[in-house]
Amino acid sequence: MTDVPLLQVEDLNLKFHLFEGVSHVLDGVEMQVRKGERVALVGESGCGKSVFVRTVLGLLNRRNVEVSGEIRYHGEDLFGLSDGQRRDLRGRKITMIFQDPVAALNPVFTIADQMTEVIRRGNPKCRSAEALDIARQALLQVSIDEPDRVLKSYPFQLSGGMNQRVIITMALINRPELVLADEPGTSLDVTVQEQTLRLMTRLTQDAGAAVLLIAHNLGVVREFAERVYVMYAGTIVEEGTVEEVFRDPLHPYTKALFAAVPRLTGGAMPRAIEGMVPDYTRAPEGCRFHPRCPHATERCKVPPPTLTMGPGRRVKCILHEGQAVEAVHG
Amino acid sequence: MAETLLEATALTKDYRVGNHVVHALRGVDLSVERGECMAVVGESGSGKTTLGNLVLGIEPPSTGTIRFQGRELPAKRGRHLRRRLQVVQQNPMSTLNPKRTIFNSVSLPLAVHRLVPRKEIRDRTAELLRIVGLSPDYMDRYPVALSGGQRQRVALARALAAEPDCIVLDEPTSSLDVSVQARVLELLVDLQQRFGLTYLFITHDLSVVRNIATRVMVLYRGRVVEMGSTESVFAQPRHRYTQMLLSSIPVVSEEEERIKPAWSWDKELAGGDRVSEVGCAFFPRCPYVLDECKTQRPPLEDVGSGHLAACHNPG
Repeated sequence: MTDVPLLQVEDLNLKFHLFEGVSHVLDGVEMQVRKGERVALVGESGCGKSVFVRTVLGLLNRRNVEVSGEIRYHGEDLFGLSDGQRRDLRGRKITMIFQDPVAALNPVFTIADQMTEVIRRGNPKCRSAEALDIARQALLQVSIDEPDRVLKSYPFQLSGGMNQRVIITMALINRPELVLADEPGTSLDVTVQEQTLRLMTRLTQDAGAAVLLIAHNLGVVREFAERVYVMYAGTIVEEGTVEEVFRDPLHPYTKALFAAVPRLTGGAMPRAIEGMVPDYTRAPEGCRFHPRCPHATERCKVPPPTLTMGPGRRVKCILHEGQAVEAVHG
Repeated sequence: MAETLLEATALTKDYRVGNHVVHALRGVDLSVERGECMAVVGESGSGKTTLGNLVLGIEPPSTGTIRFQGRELPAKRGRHLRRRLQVVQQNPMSTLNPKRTIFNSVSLPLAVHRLVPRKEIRDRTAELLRIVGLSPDYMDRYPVALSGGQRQRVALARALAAEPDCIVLDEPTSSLDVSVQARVLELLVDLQQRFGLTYLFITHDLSVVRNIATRVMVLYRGRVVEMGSTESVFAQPRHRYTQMLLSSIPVVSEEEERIKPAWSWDKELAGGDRVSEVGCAFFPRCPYVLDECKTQRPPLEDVGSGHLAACHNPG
């Protein structure tokens, strides 16, 4: 057992050079995913969650993109790898589950075609009959009782929940070490979403894969993850175990997110967060949340320190300076 | 006793698809009082949007009648009737015409129903935008310039322009982020109080209507399986399908986790998409199934103080 985390992101910055100016989307993102761990990244739309995932996958290679910082996988810097080496990682060691299952599958190929292609990508020596057999077994594992019918179908002939199960199976079939899941199941019914989460938990545990779940729904985070990172406007504002963060959220943004969730127990109306996610070409100075924050002071206009509150528990807000174990000024 | 604004009796709707018939609604009774918010809840395919369409008169029912203020609604509705029932649809990206400015979209009902003199249309449009919390500066912009939440406000302003009695809200917040969703819900409650509106709130997510609905109606495969006050449906869901819906909501606190009914999801995975034509439509997915569930359809019965459920083995 080594201490090198599976994925380690350090001081990741990402800028898009646009006609309107430089859009500074990711600002000093720090993150760690250990082997077999289920981690969530939560925030509103437009917070940079999906851009972050695409950067980790190395899918943002356009000419107007400027990236700095480090993304280490098993301790090895991903930016040092060639395009070919990164492609080898993608789809084998690092896989992805997208939000909309129907859009993620190719409509003109059958499920069998698409599944065997993925299987043979992981193991090029595999014959197609063998690959088909592996696919059939894998579908049985996700409680699809008629795998042959599903394999012969085109995506549009299956329900959303069925497509979602196929996608999850495909993402895990090559026994990846890390699965990046971008809001799986949110475009589906609540009942199907619940099944999706349960299935993902079971399968990733069986396969020993680590998962980084991107979500805007805090309930989903609580149900699925062990640790959580809260992202606002391209910065991580809070991190901790799910238990700690849900029991005692520290950052005003995390608190505001909780207040916006409608509760089954009734009580007060959910409260909206004032204002909007900022324009990244003119991101606020200092703490990026301060224009929307009810506790903002003059001091919030300088970059906030990253406060360590305990092991693996960090928050980026001056409100908690008194209780911090360690402060790193950025 | 409040006035019954909307009353539907034995509504059915069949669609012919190829050479077979889809029964979207199979006999739904509905009664909505003035000023209340009735939530219609179910998974996709339960018939909730069809019910909304029938109420709005977008399509006629196959059988059954709809009454509005005691008078039966004809298949072809006059302009004054259409004005009083408005709609806000699910997808804010497709509900506004991209080639029309916000002013064009919001002012159209004002002109069609001749609600204000032509000279005052612009002022009234500005006022409507202010009511839904948008700056009148948006009037001459196109929908592309607006975020999802802002577009949903425009759709609400357009519905309000007609000065309706009742608005059918078809998943008005399901494509929005939590923080934006909270703002739209706040606005809906505020507008309801200000203008004495009646809502028919269609959604698949029960947690959204917890704070806003007065009553909840749960649909499964075109039939009402449970109906009752919001309080009693959430505190004591009787039909097993309602229990399943409630237990599928991902919640954020221990307190909520405790009120969620227990549900065995492994059974659900295997039974998934199956439905039954005889007996209770839900029995293939139900862990509490009895023999009679497979042969006899359970009637919708009072299970205590006006709370209705159609289940042989209620919880």
